[in-house]
Amino acid sequence: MQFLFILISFALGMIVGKIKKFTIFTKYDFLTITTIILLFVMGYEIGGNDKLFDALPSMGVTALKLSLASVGMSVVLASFMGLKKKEK
Amino acid sequence: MWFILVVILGILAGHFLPYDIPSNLSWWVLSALIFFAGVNIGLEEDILKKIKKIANKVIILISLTVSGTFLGAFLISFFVPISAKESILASSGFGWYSLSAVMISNLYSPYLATISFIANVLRESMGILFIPLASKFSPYAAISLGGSPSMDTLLGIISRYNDKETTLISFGHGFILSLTTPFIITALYYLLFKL
Repeated sequence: MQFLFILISFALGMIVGKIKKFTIFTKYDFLTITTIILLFVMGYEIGGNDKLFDALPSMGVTALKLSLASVGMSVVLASFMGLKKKEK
Repeated sequence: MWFILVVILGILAGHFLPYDIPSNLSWWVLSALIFFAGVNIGLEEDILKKIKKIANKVIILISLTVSGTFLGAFLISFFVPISAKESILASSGFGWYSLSAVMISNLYSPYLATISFIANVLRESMGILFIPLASKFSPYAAISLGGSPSMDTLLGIISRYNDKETTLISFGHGFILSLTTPFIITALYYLLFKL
């Protein structure tokens, strides 16, 4: 159950943060460091897999279209919640 | 945009270096990342109380973000070489590229995981590019555009172009959306592919 595991990691983190005894977490930006490591590892996995690597250009186009469409529709629907009033 | 650079570096390293990395490494790094995200939230003083006050707006906005994302993914599926189901699953990271890619890779296929990864990285990049523009006509559209990163990487941009309440809604939107995303991906996978 990876989903459960994720929630547990998050909850553990929140508890550790709430305790506020571990000053190391305010000193270093672990979130950014792990993000960089994860991005690199994920890139490495794609690059190391010949099938994925060769399909990158076509997958990139698909991903771009997908992303534009989902972002576009999110924006359209969210706009129904309210438009900015013109400043006087 | 530095994160795109890191990905490209990783891809090049993976392609040209002869070393294999353990197949579940990304999963463990993701778990660590989620743990640290939890620590950051835990460190914030009564941020959850503040979010409670604007909970209604946050929940409505999240429903719009989620349904807009799925609607867009469904519509575009007629113009891309993946099925509507796959398209919707790939879009369901809402900008949280690491989570969606690792989960989809474990649940479904590395191919769709890669598409999901790129699509969600692009969503975050589009946030950086378009939030200033979207903020001009609707603060809600600006938040929804970014998806999950509206609570961290995109929060700074949102706060620069909008008022304080919008910034708080943006944080709440990203926070609750991030919490529900692992659930949404799992549920979608079973609904779309296992029923």
